[in-house]
Amino acid sequence: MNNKYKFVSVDIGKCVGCRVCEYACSMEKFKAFNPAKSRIRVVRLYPHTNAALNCRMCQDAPCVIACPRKALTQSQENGVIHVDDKLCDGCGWCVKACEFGAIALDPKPTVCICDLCEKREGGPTCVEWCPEKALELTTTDGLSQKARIEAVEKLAEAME
Amino acid sequence: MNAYTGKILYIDLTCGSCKTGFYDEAMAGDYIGGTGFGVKMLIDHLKPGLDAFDPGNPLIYVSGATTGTIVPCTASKFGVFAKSPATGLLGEAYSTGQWGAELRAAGYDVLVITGKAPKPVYLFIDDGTVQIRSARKLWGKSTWEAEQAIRDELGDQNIRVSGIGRAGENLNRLACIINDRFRAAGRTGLGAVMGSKNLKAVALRGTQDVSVADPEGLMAFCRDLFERAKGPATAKYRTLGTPANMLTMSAQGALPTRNYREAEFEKVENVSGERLNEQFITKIQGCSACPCRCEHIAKAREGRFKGAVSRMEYEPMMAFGPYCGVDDMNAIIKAIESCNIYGVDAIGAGIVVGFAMECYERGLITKEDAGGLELNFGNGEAMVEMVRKMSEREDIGDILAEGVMRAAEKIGGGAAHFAMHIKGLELTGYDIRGLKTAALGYAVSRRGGDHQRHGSYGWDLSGKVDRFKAEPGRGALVMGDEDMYAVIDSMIICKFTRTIWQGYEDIAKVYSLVTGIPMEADQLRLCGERMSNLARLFNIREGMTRRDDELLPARIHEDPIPGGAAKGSVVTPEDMAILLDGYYAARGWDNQGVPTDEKLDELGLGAYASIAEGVRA
Amino acid sequence: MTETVQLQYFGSVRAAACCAEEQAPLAENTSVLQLLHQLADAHGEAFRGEVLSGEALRDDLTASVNGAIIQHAAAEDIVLQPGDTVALFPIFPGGG
Repeated sequence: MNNKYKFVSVDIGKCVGCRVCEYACSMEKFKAFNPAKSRIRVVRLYPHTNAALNCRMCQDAPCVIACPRKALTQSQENGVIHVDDKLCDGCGWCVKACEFGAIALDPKPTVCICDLCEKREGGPTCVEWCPEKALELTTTDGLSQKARIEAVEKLAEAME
Repeated sequence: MNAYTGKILYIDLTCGSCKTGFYDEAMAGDYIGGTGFGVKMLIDHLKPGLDAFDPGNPLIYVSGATTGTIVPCTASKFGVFAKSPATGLLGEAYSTGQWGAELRAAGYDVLVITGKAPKPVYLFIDDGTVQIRSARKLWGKSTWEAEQAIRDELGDQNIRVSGIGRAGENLNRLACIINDRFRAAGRTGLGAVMGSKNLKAVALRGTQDVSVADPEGLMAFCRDLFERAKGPATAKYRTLGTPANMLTMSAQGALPTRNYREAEFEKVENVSGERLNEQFITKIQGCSACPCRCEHIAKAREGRFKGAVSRMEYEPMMAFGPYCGVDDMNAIIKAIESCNIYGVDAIGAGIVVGFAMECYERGLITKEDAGGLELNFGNGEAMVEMVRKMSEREDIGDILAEGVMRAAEKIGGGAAHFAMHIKGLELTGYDIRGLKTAALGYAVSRRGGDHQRHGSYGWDLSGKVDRFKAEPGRGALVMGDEDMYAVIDSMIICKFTRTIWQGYEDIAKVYSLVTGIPMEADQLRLCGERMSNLARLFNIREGMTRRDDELLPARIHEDPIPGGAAKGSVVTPEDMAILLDGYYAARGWDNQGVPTDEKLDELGLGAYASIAEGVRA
Repeated sequence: MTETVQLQYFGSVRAAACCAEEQAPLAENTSVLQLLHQLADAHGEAFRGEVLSGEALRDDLTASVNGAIIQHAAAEDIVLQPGDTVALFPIFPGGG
């Protein structure tokens, strides 16, 4: 039922690669600034392509399937991936399975992945801090609906 | 300590050794970081009187107090210091992008690099471990090629690289150090110091936490600062950006045109910020945890230079546009891109080419000297080719690579009259003949011909003072600007966001929230004054006197602006006497510009008093 | 025949005004400061933000009358004459 799962999606046209999301996320989760530990990671490609990527709450999440120790489970309620620290041994198969580079290893060992700031009042901190409003908490349905509306708006404008 | 790592990395390239040193809270609280740390480390580690290319000249990298945090706009800012090959005085430059945050995350706030490697090398600092690696395959590569090669060699596309191009390798005295493609520790020739050490680059990988003393207090304050940074205070940077200055400065008779022959450009509409944004800017992106996002990226659209890409700001546009009489935006974009690739100061290089063009038109340089180029004002293609020739020291480029001061001496024939520099550093984008407060700021700037240590043109242009008059009271204004900017360059905060900070109070507040070190507004102002005075002592120790402050280019003294809003303006020696006397008095220095013992005691600089005593009449 | 003054806008002021130049009606005894407030009322909040800070001129703004930069403190005393040209330029502290 993943078209109901919300995830943080980036608008590549709006993202300016400023990395404020990384600073906000690491502060929220670790009470320190450390982009390397952020669960949302910015990619900057020369000359000016920028995008912040994180977990997309896939249906039948490949990372969950790949884990040999069944340390990862996916919540049926919101699609968030949870890790059982006692079972995770840092093998990294989940990292290989994710096409978006959205899951990473943390030294404990455990994994580092977006949890939508489940326990935070106000929801995802990156969405709140992004100065360009390039991040939004949405569903795949929400994204396609937005695209349809924009397409129709453009058409209507052209017809005037 | 919070935020501060407390660690200094000393690297001796001659014997290939490294050791870690430490600094304490006392140093942090007195010198903040950035400027303060840089000046202090340099004055303490440089043997006076050394040539800038001597292996003993330390190349010093410093982070700021708030580097690596979400404070706008500070995350990745860093400074580079050494004795300057251009001026023989304080070499100092700042950069941003992505590199600075990684330095702190790698565990160090200060790098002190001395000696000279027997063969080309680069440094790789990886979370506290240090490697000196062979740069045999990197030497000769452009800055961009070298960055990519290092990332490929080390197998990590996120490695940050600060390095030199051909200009630095060839000891061009305007060579800079490039990081993250479009960012530079640009002025005073620090790239040449790096090249003289056979050092190609400093590469970093850091994954350590940067902690702060009061996370909740800081985030709450930063929320407020972010709102201010997205509001009207910074709108002009985020829309047209500094290139808006093209039309503005021309209309006000302050746009250096054709090597300061004129102060307005008849073709300025072709190179305006408006035209740039409408037709050439492809994206405006952001650097280092910045809510402002003002990085204007332009692409050349047509002609020989189609496809060239560069970040665009007013100063380099001025230097390669009106300064050289060029109105082809494509050539300007290409020239700035070339500066990034060759690793040469994009402001200074334009000033040098403009100087060469005037020499050419006066017959002091021939077409043969220029390797077949017709170096007339307005020849954009020749201008672009000159950036390469100066970086490779080819033909007349070899002499021009020395900067306008030394080039004029070699070329002779009266060239010194229009060699536009102060203390050996090329002038920048404000015609000081018609901006008297700015004239003082430029004259006494610790780097030489530089607007970034004071920004005092603001007084002249905002009409708070009479731009055409020299008055003693300007000294206090310039002092205030210098000390505030010293603090800003110590935190290190982007000057484009200057107006979101309500004075020293806001900056002191953020300082304490981040570092946990108590700091009041007055204390912070005193820190700024301390840094300005220590920098003055450094320059005095290297031989600077009042005469060096008085000496503006002959053109500034003798050639009145021929037309426009500032027609007839010059800066006379009488003007300079009034301005300097007022400045020295405001600073508490004697009439030769030497800090008094009382002033040094007041600032806790008694340990350096012998420098002042040594030169006092 | 309404008396007018000529306005010239530069940089972000121009962007906020949506035009590079315009003629504005001038009532008798209007000071520079009063005129700017009138223009801010007409052009909206973006323009106001670029030109004014509270009641006074914005700190980092150049205002000139007939080519001569005016002192901010004098903005409320300088009375404009019909046919005067007022130019507004943003200043960039911090160079670039």
